[in-house]
Amino acid sequence: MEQQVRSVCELSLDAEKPLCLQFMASMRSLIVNPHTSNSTISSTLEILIRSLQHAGDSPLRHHALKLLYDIASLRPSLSPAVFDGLRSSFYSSLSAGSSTFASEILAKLASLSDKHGNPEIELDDRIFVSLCFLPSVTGRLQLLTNAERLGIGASVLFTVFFGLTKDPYPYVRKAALDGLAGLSRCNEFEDVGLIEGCFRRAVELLRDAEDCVRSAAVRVVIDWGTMLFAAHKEKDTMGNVVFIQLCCVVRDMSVEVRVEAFKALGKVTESMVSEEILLQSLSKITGALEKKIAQAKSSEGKKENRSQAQLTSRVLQMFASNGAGAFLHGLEDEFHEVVKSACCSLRKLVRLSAEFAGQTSNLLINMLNDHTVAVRLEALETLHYMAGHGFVNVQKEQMHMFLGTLADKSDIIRYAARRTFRLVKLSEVDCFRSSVSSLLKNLEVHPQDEADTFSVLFHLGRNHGNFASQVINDVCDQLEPVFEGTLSLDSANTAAYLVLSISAPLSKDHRGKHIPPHLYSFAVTHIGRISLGLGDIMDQTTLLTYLTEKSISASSVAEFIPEEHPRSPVVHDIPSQDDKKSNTTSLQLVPCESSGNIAATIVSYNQNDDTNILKCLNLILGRVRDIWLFGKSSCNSEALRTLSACKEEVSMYRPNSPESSGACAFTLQYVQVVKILAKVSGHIFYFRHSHQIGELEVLLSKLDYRLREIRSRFIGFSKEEDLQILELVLFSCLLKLATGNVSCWGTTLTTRLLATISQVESLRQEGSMEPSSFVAQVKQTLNQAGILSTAPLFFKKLADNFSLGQFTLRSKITHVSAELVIPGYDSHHPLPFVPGLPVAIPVDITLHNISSEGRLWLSLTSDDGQLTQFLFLDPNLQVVSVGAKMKKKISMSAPFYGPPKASSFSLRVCLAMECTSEDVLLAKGRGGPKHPLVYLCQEKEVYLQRVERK
Amino acid sequence: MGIECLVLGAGQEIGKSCVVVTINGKRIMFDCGMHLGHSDEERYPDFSLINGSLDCVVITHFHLDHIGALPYFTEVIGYSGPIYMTYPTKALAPLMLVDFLRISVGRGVEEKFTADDITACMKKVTPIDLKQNIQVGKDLQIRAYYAGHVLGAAMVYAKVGDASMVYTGDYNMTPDRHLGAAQIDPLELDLVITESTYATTVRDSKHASERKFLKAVHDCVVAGGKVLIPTFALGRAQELFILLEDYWERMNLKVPIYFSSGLTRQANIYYKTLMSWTNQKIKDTIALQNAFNFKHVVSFDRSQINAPGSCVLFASPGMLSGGLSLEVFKQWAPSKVNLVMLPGHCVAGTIGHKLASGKLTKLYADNNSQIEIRCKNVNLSFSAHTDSKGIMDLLKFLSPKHVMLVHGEKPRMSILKKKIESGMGIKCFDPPNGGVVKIPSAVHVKAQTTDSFAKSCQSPNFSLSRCSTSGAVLSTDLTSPLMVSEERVSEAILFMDRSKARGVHKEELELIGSGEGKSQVFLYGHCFPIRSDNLTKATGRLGLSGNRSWLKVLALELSHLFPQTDVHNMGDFLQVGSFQLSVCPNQSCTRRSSDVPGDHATTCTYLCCSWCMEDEKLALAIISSVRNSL
Repeated sequence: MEQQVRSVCELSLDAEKPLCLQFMASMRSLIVNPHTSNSTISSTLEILIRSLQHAGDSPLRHHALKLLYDIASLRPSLSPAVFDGLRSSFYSSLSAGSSTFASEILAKLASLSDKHGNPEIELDDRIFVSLCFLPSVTGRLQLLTNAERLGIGASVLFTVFFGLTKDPYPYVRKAALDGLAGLSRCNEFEDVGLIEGCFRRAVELLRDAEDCVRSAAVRVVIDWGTMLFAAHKEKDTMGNVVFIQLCCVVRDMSVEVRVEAFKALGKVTESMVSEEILLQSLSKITGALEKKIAQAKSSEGKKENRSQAQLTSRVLQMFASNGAGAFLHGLEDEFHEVVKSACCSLRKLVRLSAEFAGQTSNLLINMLNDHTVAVRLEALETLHYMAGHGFVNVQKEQMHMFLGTLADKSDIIRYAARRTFRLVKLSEVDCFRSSVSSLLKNLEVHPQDEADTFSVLFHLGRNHGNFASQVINDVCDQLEPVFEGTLSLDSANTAAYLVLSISAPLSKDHRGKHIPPHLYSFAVTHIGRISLGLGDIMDQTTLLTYLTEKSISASSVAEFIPEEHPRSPVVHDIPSQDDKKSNTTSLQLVPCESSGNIAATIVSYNQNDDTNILKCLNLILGRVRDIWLFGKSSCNSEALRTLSACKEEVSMYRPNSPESSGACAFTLQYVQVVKILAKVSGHIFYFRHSHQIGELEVLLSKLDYRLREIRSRFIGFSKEEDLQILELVLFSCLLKLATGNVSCWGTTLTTRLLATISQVESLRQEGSMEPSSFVAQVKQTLNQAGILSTAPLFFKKLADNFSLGQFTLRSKITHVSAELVIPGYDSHHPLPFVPGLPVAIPVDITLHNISSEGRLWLSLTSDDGQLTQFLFLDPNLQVVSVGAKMKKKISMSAPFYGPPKASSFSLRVCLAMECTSEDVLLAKGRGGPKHPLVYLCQEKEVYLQRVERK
Repeated sequence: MGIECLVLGAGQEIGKSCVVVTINGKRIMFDCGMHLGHSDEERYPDFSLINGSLDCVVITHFHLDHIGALPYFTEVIGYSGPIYMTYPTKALAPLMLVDFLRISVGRGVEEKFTADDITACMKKVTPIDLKQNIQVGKDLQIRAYYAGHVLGAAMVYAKVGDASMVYTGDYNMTPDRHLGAAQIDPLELDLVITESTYATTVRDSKHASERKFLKAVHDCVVAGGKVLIPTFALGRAQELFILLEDYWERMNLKVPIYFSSGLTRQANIYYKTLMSWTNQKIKDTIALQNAFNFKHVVSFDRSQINAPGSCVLFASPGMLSGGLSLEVFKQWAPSKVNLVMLPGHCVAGTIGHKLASGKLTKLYADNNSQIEIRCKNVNLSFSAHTDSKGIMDLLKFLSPKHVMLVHGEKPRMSILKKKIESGMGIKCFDPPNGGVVKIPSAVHVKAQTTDSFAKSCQSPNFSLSRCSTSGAVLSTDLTSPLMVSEERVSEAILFMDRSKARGVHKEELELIGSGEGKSQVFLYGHCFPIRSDNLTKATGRLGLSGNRSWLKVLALELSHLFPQTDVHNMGDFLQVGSFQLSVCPNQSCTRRSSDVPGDHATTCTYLCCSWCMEDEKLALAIISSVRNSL
C-alpha cells in the first residue's frame, strides 16, 4: 500500500489534483502505522500541505488538517515541518478569505507550539482581532482559548476578552473569562477604571445562566478583585466587596461553582477583609451585623463620608442577606468536594484572625461527627494544621466529640486524630485526664495502634507536663508491680503511663509534683515497647541512658532540675553549675510546616539557635575529655560506650546554617577519633581487649584516615585548635610506633613525627603560645635520643604522657563535602555497556566549600576491587553553575575504561580529594593521585548491564 | 391572561396546603392537604371555591397536610383528572393515610373517606420522576425538582405558553443526614409560591445540635439509662436512625436502638429501595453499605419496656401526645438516669411542650396514682424546613417576577414579605385562605428577522465606554469603570404590528420603507402616563366625558400647538402625519415607559403613540408638549 500511495502522491504532486476521501483514508492508515518509512511520510506531508493551500472551500481540507496534525503528534521529528507548512497555509487561507478555516489552522498551530516546543506563533494583532469578529462561533472559541499562545499584546487581548464576555454563546463567555483570569497575572494593568470595569463585569456574570460561565467568573472576580484591592483608593471597602461577592456565590446550585467559590475565598489575602466580615462568614446569625448596618445608615445623614457610609451600609446589607455564614454552608454541604474546598480555604484564612481561628475550630470539631470518612478526615486535617499553628483550643463540652475520633472505627480517622492530638493544647486537667483515658481505652480496643498511641502520649505529656505529673501521681500506686503470683508489668496501660512519666520532665511547664524515680526503673523493663513508640523522638540507647540516669540518681539534688538533659552516668569531673544552666538542651517539638504532610515530629535540640548548638557541642567536647580521663583511669569499655552515646547525640542535631553544620561534622569526627584513640591506647597500655590479629592495624589505619579527614576536610581552625589537632596526630604517631611493628610503617612515620613537631613549633611561634607539656616532652626526648634506635617501649612511655586537652570550638568551621548523583540511574535501569569499550557514567556533583586549589579525583572501582581508575576533576574548569557562595555544580560523563567481559558488573563511584598537606607520597606512576585521598561523599554503586545485540 | 392563584389552604397558616393556580387558562391544584388541628369543616380545603374544572392535581410530598384531603377530593368530591406525585410519595403516602385512619378510628373520630377510598385514589396517581417533563394536555407542562424535606418531596415547575411558575411545597436548603438540599435549575419565572414556615428564623450550624444530641444520648446510655425519643414514624425518625447508627458503628457501642411503630418498619423498606432520592453522601457510600440497612436499629416489643439495661427507643407519636410514647414515658420518667429527647418543636399544650419548658414535675399515670418526673430531658430542634435565609437564597437564585408566601404564620410572613420586597425588589403576596392573587405574566412575541439582520447578529459587535459614577452601584471613585455593551441587537429596529413583529437592521430601513407600503410600518412607539385628573379637568371644562372626549381635548390642544400640521381625530386615535396617538387600555403594553409621575401612579392614564421614522422630530415634539401641558 505504501508504494501505491506514494505513486499516487507523486502523481498528484505533479498534476495538483485535489485529493479524494478514499485516498486520504489510506494516507491516514500509513500515518498511524509506525513502520511506514520516513520518506513516504515526508511526501505525504508535502502533498497534504499543498492540498491545504489549494483546497479552496473543499470540505476535505479539514481532513487534511487533521492528518497533518496527526503526523506532527506521531512523528515529533516532522513537527517543525508541519508547523511551517501550517503557518504558510494559514496566511494563504487568510488571503483567500476563508478565515474560519484560518482560525482552525491557528488552533492547531497553537497546540503544536505547545506540544513540541515549536516556536511561538507571532500573529499580527490586527489579524487576530479581525478573526475574532467573524461570525464563526467555533473559530472564535478556538481563538480565545489559544489567544495567550499567539503572541498578542496584553491590551489587545484585554479588549477582546472583555468585549466578548457579552457574547451570547456561553462557551465563548467562559473562554473570555478564562482569558481575563490569565491576563490578571501579567501585571500590565494599572488603570483603576479598567480593573474595576473588569471586576464588575465578572460580578455580573456570577449570575449567568450557565454553570461553566459562573465558575469562570468566580476566578476572574478573585483575580481582578485582588488587583482592584491593590489599586483602589478605598482599599478597605474594596477588599470587603471582593470577599462578600464571593461569599454570595457559595449558595450556588452548581457544585462546580461552589467548589470554585471556596477556592477563591482561600486566595483572599491578609488585610483584604475586615475581621467582623470574616467572622460573619462563619455564622448565619447576623445580629451584630444588623447593628453595624443601622449605624452605617445613621451616619449616612452626616455630610462627611456620605458616599462611604452609603457604600458600607449597602455592601453590608448585601452580605447580611447573602453572604453570612458562607463557610457554615460550605462545611454542611452534601458534596464532599465542596466541604474539602471549604476546609482548604479555611486553612488559609485562619491565620488572618485569632478569633476567626477559634470559631473555625469550634465548627470543625462539630464536624467530626459527620458520617462520611472523607469529611471527617478533611476536618481533622484542617484541625491538625490549625493545632500546629496554635489555633485549636478545645472547649470542655467539645471534648466528647474530639475524643470520639480517637475511638473511631476507621483507622485512618484514628491516625489523623492522634496526629492532631499531638499538637493540641488542653486548658484543663480534666480534659487531659479524659484524653489520656480515651487513649488508654483505644489501646485496649485497638492494640495495633500501640506504638502511635505511645508517641501521642509522649507529646501530650510534653505539652502538658504539669497535668501529666498530676495524673501520674494519681495512678502511681497502680503502677507498682504486685508480686502476688502474677506480674502485671506487661500491660499496655502500665507502659502508657510510663511513657507519660517519661515525657513529663521534658516539658517546659513541668513545675508539678516530682515523679517517683522508681517508675523510671519500671520503664526500663518496657524499654522495647516504649522505644518502639518513641522511635521518632529518641532511640533506644538515648532512652535507656535517660531512664538509667533518672532512676539511679534519685537522691541526687541535681536531679530536680527539670531541663536536665539525658546524661551519661559519669559522675566525676562534672561541669560546673554554670555549664548546667547553659545546657538548655530541652527537647523541642517542631510543628510540621507543610499542611498536608504527616506531622513529622522531629525532635532537635534548640535547632533554630546556632549559637546554642555551638555551646552544646562544646559541652559534648568537654565531656569527651572527661571520658578520656575516666577511661584512662579505670573502665575503658564504659568510656567507649559513653563515647558512642556522645556520637549519637551529635548526630541528632539538625543544624540549619553551614557554620553549625561544619561544627557538628567536626565534633562527630573528633569524637570518632577519640574513640579510636581510646581503643588503641587501651590495647597498648592496658591490654584490655584481646584484639584479633590485624584488628589493631585496621584501627590504626582508620585513625590515620580520620585524622587526615580532620585536617583536610575542615577549614577555618584557629591556631589553638590547629595545635590540638596536631597533638592528636603526634599522639597517633607515637601509638603506632609503640605497637612495635615499625616495619610496616617504615621511615615515613618518623619523618611525619618530625614534620608534625616542626609544624607545632612554627605554629607556636606564630601564635606565641606555650605548647602543652606533652609536646615539649616529646620534642625534648626526641632531641636527646635518635628515633630509629628507640624501642617501642620508649614510645609507649612517651605516649603515656599524653592527656587530651579540652577542645573548645570558637571559630566558624566549614566542612568540605560533596554530593554525587548518578542521573537517570536506579536499580531498575542499569547503565548499558559493551565489553571492552569505555563506558560513560553520567555524574552530577555538587561541591560544598571546596577551594579552587583542591585536587579532586573521581574514583571508579569495579566490584571485585581489582580495577580502580581515577579521573581528575578540575573544579575551575568543570563548574557548571554556581549557586550559593561556596557551592559548585559539575555535570559530566566519567569514562570507565576496559569494562570486563561479563554480562553485568557494578562500579563503585566516589569523589575524593588529595591531601596535599600530607607528606606521604603514593609512589604510583600512572598519573593517579600523588597524595593520600579523603573521600568527600558516600560511595555510589552503579550497576551496568551488557548491551544485547538484536 | 396571566396567572391567578386561589388559596384554599395554608394561607397565613400552617396546615392543609392547597393552592389552585390558573395559568393562561389552565388550572392546576398544588397539594391537597388536611388540617390536623381542626376536626370540623375547617379540616379540609373549601373545594367549592374552585370555579370550573381542574386540569391536574400535583402533590409535592406525603405529609398529611399536603396529601390528607386527596382521597376525599377524588373519591367523595369526584375529581377524576390526572394526579401527579413522585414515586416515593406514591409509595409512602398510602402508609401515612392508612395509619392516620387507624388512629382516627382509635380515637372515635369519623373521617370523610375510608381505606378503600385511599386505595382507589392511589390507583389514579401517575408517578413522576425528577426533572421529567410531563405534558398535561396540549399546553400545560410540569416538571418536578428535588426539594429535600422528606423522601420524595418535590418542587413543581409549571408552564403554560409564556407564563411559568414554581410551587415549592415544603423544602430544605441544607442537606441533613439522609436527604440532600433542594436543587433547581435557573428558570425564568413569573411567580414562585414558597412555603414560609420559618419566615424569620435563621438557624445556625446543624452540626452543633447533632453534637449535643449524640452527647446527651451517649452519656445517658453509658450511665445505664434509657433514652426515649418521641418522634413521628417517617422522616425525622430515619434521619436520627442514621445519625445514631453511624455513631454506634463508629464508637462500637452495643446498646440496642429500638423503634416501636410498624409503620417505621414498612417505611424503612421503602427508604432502602429509594436510595436515589437520598443525599449525595449516602449515594456515595451505597457501594459499601446501604445506609438504611440498620445493624443496631431493631424493632421493639412492649414486653421490653421494663427490661433491665440501657436502650434507645424511638416511639411515635412525637411530642408525647399519646400512644406508646406517652405510655413508655410514664414508665421511664421516675428514674433519674433516663432521658427524654425531644428532637423538634413541640406544639403548646402537649406534654412534650410542658416537659421541654421545665414545667412538668408530676403526671397522673391514671385516675388514682401520680408519678413524679425525675428523668432528664433535652429539646433540640432538627427541622426539615428551610430557614429564612434558605428562602431568600432560593428566591435570589430564581429571581422570579412575583412571590407568593404560603404555609406560615401571618406575622412572620409579613416580616418576610417586607424583606423580600425591600431587599430584592420583588412584588410579594401573602393571601389568606380563600384569597385570590392575580399577576400578569410575560408575553413573548415571536419576531421575524431579515436575513441581513440575522447575519449581522452573528458577529460580535461590542463597544467599550466609561460609565458614569452616578449610576454605579459600587464605584465611589471619579475614575469611572470601563463598561462593555453589546450592540448586535440594539442595531436592529423592531417593527410591531398588531399581530406581527419584525426585526430589521437599521441599514435596511430605506429598502423596507419603499418596498412594502409605509402605512403599515411603525418604527417607534412610546406609551407614557399623564395624570388623569388634569385630563378630566380639561374635559370637564368642555363639558365632555369619556376616552373619546380626551382625544378631542388633545386634538384641540395639538392644533393650537402645531398650527401648521393637520390633526385628524379618527375616533379611536389622533393622527398627525404618520404619528398616531390613542388612550392605551393595555396594562402590559410593550411600549410602556417605566417612569411614573410622582406618587400618583394610580391616577394615571397612558397614552400610546407610534410614528414613522420620517416623522420622528414631530412625534417627539408632540409628546413633549403633551407631557408638559398635561
